This record gives sequence, structure tokens and C-alpha cells, in this order.
Amino acid sequence: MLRRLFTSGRFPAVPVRNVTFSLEPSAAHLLGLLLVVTLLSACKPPPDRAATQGDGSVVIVAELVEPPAIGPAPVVVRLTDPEGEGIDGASVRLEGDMTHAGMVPVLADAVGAGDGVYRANDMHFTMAGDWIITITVTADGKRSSSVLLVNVPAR
Amino acid sequence: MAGAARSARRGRVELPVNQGPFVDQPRGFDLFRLPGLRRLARFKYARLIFQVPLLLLALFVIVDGLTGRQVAPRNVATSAVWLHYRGLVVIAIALFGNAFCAACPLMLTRGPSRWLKRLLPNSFNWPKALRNKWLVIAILLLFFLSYEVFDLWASPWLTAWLAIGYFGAALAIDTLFPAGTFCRYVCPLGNFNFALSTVSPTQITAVDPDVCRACEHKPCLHGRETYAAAPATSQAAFIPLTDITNPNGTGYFPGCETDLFVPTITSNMDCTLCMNCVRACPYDNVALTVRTPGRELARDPWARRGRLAVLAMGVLLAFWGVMNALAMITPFYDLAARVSAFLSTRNEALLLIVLYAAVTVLGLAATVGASWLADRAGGKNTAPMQAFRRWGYVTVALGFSFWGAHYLFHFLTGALAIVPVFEHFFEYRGWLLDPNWRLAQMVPTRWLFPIQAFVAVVYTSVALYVAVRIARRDFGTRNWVLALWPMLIYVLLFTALQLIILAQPMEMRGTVLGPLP
Repeated sequence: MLRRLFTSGRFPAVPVRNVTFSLEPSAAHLLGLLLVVTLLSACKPPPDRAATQGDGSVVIVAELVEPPAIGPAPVVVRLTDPEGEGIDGASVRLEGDMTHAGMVPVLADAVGAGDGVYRANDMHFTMAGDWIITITVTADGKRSSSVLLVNVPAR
Repeated sequence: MAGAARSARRGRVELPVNQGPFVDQPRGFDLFRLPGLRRLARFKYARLIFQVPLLLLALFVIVDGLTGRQVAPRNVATSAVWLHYRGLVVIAIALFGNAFCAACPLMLTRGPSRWLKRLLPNSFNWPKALRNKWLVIAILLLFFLSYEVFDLWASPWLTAWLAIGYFGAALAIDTLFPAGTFCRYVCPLGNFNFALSTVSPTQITAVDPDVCRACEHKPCLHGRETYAAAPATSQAAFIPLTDITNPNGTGYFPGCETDLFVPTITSNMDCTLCMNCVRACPYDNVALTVRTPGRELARDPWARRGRLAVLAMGVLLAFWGVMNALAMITPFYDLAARVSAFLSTRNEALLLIVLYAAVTVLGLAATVGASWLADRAGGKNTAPMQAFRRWGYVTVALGFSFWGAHYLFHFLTGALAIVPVFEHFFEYRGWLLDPNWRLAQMVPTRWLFPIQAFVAVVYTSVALYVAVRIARRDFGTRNWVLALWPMLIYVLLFTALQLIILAQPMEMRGTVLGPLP
């Protein structure tokens, strides 16, 4: 019944041709195999390399000063070494992205306040929704990063 | 000849014996009269010129989506697909026509599909039961639901897999079934574009219908082969080079793969603007004619191409456009929370299915109801579905109003971000680049709503034009004004709803119900 279903109708069938197969690999076969392997290797999303940079020498802890809301959203970032000692003199940059393409990111630089504490008073949320704040730290020529996920409620 | 045999097998096209047009085609300016355009359209590889850049873009989408940073505004996949593609599609349809289908890179799988066909012991015909838009409607609904349930707009990885899936589906369908099956009966992207392009300002037409009448093989439909001398075997009608008006090379020139016969085209539905007909016509008798947007909608164009399913698709797209925009504003999340409490569930997929079902049912009810009231007001005692078949075209025009305004909003707020996004593609892979992420918005924020409102006004006017034309056509000089009133109120209510939704501040959330307290 299925054969009849698929071979009836107004479209004319393409004439059947005699085909002989070769088992020797051709360039097209190898390309196809490469494609399949590439796709299989992409079976899960890659880790966020930009958000997890670093060799562990800088521990980044970031939090909002106030509950999230549309408007100014100061962020405090604390940088410590693995022993818990504050790290001063680093460059700390915050980039706030929403989850929809095309939304302008919010960029802010955090200013050091001593003992490894940095404040980004220029951080602000332009819209309600989900935000991804990437904190990128450059200290002693090395780059480290972390991510803070925030849900900003509507007014 | 093979072409003549094929035309006999494909069925007869009943041609009027009188001179003049076969059907009511627009007679406006032919864009191919512009310098160079006709030559470009007839160039054998014209489509390839536009397909290759889109193929390269698709490769960037797939590579960055699978391997790049998984933050939507920073990834080529999510930016190019959900922002730029959608925005440029509506701009192109409004100003020109179905440009994306004209340059569709999915059709580059045609070569591999022809090769794969040789490996099949049998070829297949697309089932008769599926030769309509009902399957497309189901796929579109599945697509829109998946968009919300899986947050495709926020996931570069899923977006890349969607692109891969499209290429795979095009390859599979056009290998197993005749070429063009994917475009006409499966592709949700293409059918979305078909529906919206019914308000485009251009249409393929015949320059001189009498030339088509005298044409033996109808190569615009069946294709032709042209060489200096006849080949030993041919896959289409052979027309020697000396018989070609404005010769455009030798070889095989395929005809329309969605079975549109140029002198009988009354609609952009199913027209991919591939220009196969332009290249295949041996008499250079195909025009790209400028027309009034909405012209075709006022003339019941789909009566012979599966009217109910096509109309249903156009109408449903309008209301799914409402839903698509609604799902980005705070009142929607409040509504979802109430529905969740009512149903005692926090299952997002279930909630979205319920909400989509509600919008679908309400939208169809509103359209059918307004149509029936219009018929009654005009003095016709018709069944609701018959009234829907008459007036449904008005909602199709409203659909473009909503989708156009919505997609244009996103495009204008972030189109320039394509520059830093591409820079970031290379920066993420080790290049020393510093993308300027402040590059995003194309117009000041205060212009956005007025632009959306302008689009709404323009296409509401198109919808009203369609309604007036239908009323005057079917209700006579005395009753057409009476018949128009319900449709007028319906159109204005739809537009009011559109403006209210578009005026709301956006709230882009990945979860319908928000995080648990």
C-alpha cells in the first residue's frame, strides 16, 4: 500500500537506471565521512570559553549591590587568589548581554576600592529579562573571566 | 520530443482560444526593462551568484553556532538568523519580492540530490494527500512552538542545528521526490515567504500571452535543452540555439519546479523568484511586473491551487505573528502565570501549546466570524466557511503588517551589530581584534515605534484596499458598503491590537514562568 501511495499521482517517475557500486573510497565519500564526524562531535554545545578563562590563579566573585531592576545596577566584584588574599591593581571589565541577538550590550569598567574589591557603578539594565554579565579580569598579564546570570523583572 | 511527452503526461492547461491574456495579470512596468536586469536574470548562473554568498553565510552560522561563544548577541548564528535574515526578508518582500527564496542556498543541494537519485532503485511521487499546505501548516506550528519551547533565538547551538536540518531536509526531500517538492510542500521558511510576498509589489507575468499561446513546449514549465545541434538524448525539449530570442547560452535550462505556468500566474504563492522561467523561455517573454501591493489578494488567486489550505496558512501566520510578538512582553508572562495556576502545571511546553491553541482558535474564530458578518451585512446568506474563502485574504495582508513591523523593529535595533559579531567570530578563534560592541542600533530609539506604526498603517491600508475590492466585486453597487463594515471594524481592531502589543516594553526571558522564588 505504501509503494502504491508513493508511486501514484501526477508527477512522472524518473526512469530507473542500472547502477554499479564501488567500495573504493572517493573524495566525496571521505568528505561525507568528515562531515558526519564533525556533526557527531558537535552533539552538545561547547563550553563558554570566554566565560571560563583563567588558570585558577584569580577567583572571581560578583554580585549585584541591590535586587535586579531596570535601571542602574551597581555590581561588586571581589578578586582573590586561591588563598583568599585580595588582588588589587587588576583591570576588571563587565559586559552585560541579553539572550536575544541584536540587543546592545551594556559595558562597564569596575574601579578598584582596595582589598580586591572592585565596583562597577555604571552597570545598568536597559530592559527586563535574562541577562548574562561577563566579568573579564586582566591581572599580571593573565586573563580570567566569570559569568553572572541575572533575571531582571519587569517594573 | 521529451518535452511534449512530458507536457502531455503532466496534464492539460486549458488555454483560451481568443487573443489576449489567459488570466488577469498586472500590466505595469516590467523591471527587466531596467538596464542590465534582463540580461542578469537570463544569465545561466545568475541565481548561483546570489546563492554562494548566502551559502557562505550559512557556513558561518553553522560553524559559529556549533563552536562559538554561546551568547546570542555575540554569535553569528543567532544574530544572522534571528535578526538579519528575518529583517531583510520583510524589507525585501515589501520593496521587491521573495528575494531570499530567489537566492536560497538550500537549493544548492540540488546537485547532490540529482547524484543521489541515481542510487535509488525507484523514485517516488509526493503523496496526493500531502499536495497541499496542510503539512506546511503543521510544520510551521511545530516550528513556532519549538522556537519558544527551546528558546531557539537564544541558542546559537540549536540555531546551527536548525540550519543543518534545513539543508538535510532539502537534500532528502528533493532526492526522494521530484525537485521542487521541498519548496512547495514542506519548507516552512519558503512558505512563510510565499504568504508574505502576496503583498509584494512585483510578480512574474507573460510579456505577450499570444507568444505563450503559440509556444509548443512551454519550456518555462518543463525546461529546455539548447545546443547548436540536437543531442543524442535529452531531458527536456530541444530548442536549437538559432531559435532563441536573446540567446543566453547552451545547456539545460530547468523550468518551474513548483509548477507555475507563466501566463497563468495570478499569485506569488509558490513563486520562489528563482527565474528558471526567465532563463528557460526561448522567446524572452517573461516579465517581472510592478503591481499594486494587495492586488492579487483582491482577486481570489488561490481558487485553483488549494484555496482553503493556502488561505488557512496565510490567516494562521497572521495570528501566529501576534503570538510571536506577544511572547516578548510582560503581559504575556502574566497571562502565562495565570494559565499555569489554572492548569496547576509549570510545564512550559504544555503552557505554550495551550496559549498557541487559544490564539489559533480565537484568531480563526475572529476571521471566520468577521467574514460571515460581512456576508450577512451585504445580503448574502452564506455558510461561514464560504465567507472565509471570500474574505480570508484580508487577514493575509494584516499578517504582513504584523510580521513586517515586528521583524523590522529587531532589525533596526541591532543590524549594525553584524560588524562586531563577525569580528568576534575571528577574535574568539585567536585573532587580535577588538570588536566595537556599541555598534548595533540603526536608528534612534525614539524612532522605533513610529516606524512600526507606519508599517502598520501602510499594510492596514493594503488590507482595507483588499476588503473594498472584494466588497465591490461580490456585493454590487448597493450592498458593498454594508458588507464592508464588519471587515472594516475587524481590520481596525486587529491593527489596534498590533499597535498595543508593539508599544509594550520588551522583556526577553528564556522561561515563560520566570525563575522560582
